[in-house]
Amino acid sequence: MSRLSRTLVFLLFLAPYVFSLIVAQGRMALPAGFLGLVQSSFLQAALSALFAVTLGILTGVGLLGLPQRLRRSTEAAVLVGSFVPSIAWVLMWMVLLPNVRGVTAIVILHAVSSAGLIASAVVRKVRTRWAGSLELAMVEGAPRGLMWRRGLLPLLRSDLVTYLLTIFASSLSSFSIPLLMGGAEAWTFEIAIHQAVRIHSAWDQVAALTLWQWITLTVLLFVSRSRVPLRAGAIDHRESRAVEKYGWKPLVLLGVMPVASVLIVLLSSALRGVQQLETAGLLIDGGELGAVVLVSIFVAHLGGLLTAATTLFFALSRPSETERRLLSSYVAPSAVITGLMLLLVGMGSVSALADALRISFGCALVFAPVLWRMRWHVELSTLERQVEVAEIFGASAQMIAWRILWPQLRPLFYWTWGVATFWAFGDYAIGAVAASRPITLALLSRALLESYRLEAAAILIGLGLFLGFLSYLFFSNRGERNVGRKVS
Amino acid sequence: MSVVKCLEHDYGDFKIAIHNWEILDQGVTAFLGPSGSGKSSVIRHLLGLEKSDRLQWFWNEETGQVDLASMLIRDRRLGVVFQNGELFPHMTAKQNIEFAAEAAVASRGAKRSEVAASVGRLIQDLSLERASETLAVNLSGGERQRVALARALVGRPRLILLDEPFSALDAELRREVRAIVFRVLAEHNIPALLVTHDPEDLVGLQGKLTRIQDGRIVEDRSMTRAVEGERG
Repeated sequence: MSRLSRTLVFLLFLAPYVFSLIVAQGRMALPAGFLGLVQSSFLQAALSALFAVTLGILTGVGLLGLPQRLRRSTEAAVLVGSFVPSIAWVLMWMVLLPNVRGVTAIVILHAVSSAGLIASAVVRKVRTRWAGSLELAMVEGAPRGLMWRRGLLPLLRSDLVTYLLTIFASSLSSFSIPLLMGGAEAWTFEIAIHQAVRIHSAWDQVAALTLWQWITLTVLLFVSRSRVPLRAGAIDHRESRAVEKYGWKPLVLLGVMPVASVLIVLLSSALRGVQQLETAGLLIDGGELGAVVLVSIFVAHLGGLLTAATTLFFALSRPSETERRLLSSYVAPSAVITGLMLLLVGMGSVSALADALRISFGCALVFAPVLWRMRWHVELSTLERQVEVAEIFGASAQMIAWRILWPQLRPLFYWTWGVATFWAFGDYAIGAVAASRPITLALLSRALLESYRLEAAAILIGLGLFLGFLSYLFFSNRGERNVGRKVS
Repeated sequence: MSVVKCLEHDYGDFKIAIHNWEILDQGVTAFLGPSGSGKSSVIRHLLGLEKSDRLQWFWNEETGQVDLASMLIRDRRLGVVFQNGELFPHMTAKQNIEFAAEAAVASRGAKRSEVAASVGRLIQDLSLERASETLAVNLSGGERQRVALARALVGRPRLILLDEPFSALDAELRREVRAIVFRVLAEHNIPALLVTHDPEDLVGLQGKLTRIQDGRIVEDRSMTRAVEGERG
């Protein structure tokens, strides 16, 4: 049963690749200028990774310098940047730097939107593992520069390589930011695949590019995952003054300012936008806006539920470590997924329901591996010993799944549902390919952004983010409530 | 009697090679060795948690001899207590024990009424009455190990494997829990394989001692002589 479940999940994720091969009738052809595409996408991904990791470390050093209470709230604020949907970052960029596009915009947006996660990981690692060493260094009088240069950075080296590989891989397969910021040139394989589908209908190229992207990313992410020690070691929870001494708080501004810019631009643009929204009558009237909000709620929650259900189903089927790493390494091309959804949910059907279902299913296939990589993989590894013990006692697969795993994974299930819903509220990339017209807030926002009605777009983006955030809070709280008492 | 006819595994930089190792089916077989000698790896192979290059482990039953290595993990009918108990943190102490009891009923054909009675008896024997409704995550170190022992015993295992069960406890608590554990093991007449690096754990025990170094058995003798030797 477990094996069947795991096979089903892998078949689900393999389906987009098989689909592209079937449509291409088994033919593969690399597009003209393939080497240029490889060069430009690798350059873009390398720069994104380098800037993201540098910015993440610097922000982390800044966070470590803050007193405990301020550090927690600031860390949460910095993390918002890594979870907020790309459309908010794109809006900020279009308002502040309307003339800068191409690789510069893509690299900087990739970097600022990933830096929060890296900063948070650095802070956690230093605080939980090396607080004692920092105390010793403080007593011995080691200066900050020396401690970072000779002590902490070498200790973090393995993690930094992992972050670099992970950001490199995600930037290589990025879709939403390059779609709006990249101009005509394809800066990622995703965009090249998208162009091959939408502009040229060249499925032989889609099949070749998809296979190339799949192999590249799987190797990269598989290697980066194998470097991460998944079992948590001894944790030192001391709130040491030494940690604060070896941080440098002014650097935190590097992480806070981009996030603050997003929020300020969003708010100020939205406040100016009410008038524009009224004049955008052809795109939005009251009734249409209501319908769009309802469809957005449906699409986002269904996408969130499908994402959470997919990850849970896979976790309960007790995948081996290799299978977990394979899913962690998985990135499916959004355009191909959407093509598959077009086939599965009504080829050419232009009904709003078919559009909505296509977006939701597409979101689930794209988000599930990302969230698996982010939290499920590690969480499941920490439960491994309990599963082994239960197995030794003779517990059946069902007992292990529903009595051991599910009660402890339930908060993560709801968290996943919440985050995926939040992201789905902001998705315009999958929707742009799957839907025949702008049926969600994000799609409508994209249309407004492209026609430079930025203030009107800001209102819709703000509304989408607000609804998404409410959903996230609702599901997160529900997960916590279900635990009843806190389980460490 | 139980004999590990052969256990071989090559980790690349470390090899386990054990042949004709007798594990007592009455009393305690102590398994000593320094850190990195392969003690815990051997336990994981015996439990079936790691795939061995070669493993033959014969156990004499009333009905004849069985090779435990050829069985699924759950069919080996073993119990285990790890260093930190590895309790299920979302369950109470009693629920932890009941879970193991239910597993024994479902997979080993144990009688429901018997295991239900033995849950109550073990809670009493191990003085867990006050802790029984406490969430595992809130139990003290000593309580955690006693619950882990009850959980391991409730399914009447062939053999219980104790993987450094006292090493996370402070000296005073260690003495107390050690006394309770060995008393209950003797009362329930269940043989144990005790992994330890602390010779104090062996004081007063009867059985045999096996010492492992670099994945190989370097000493295998009766407990009394061994403990005397340990204490110099």
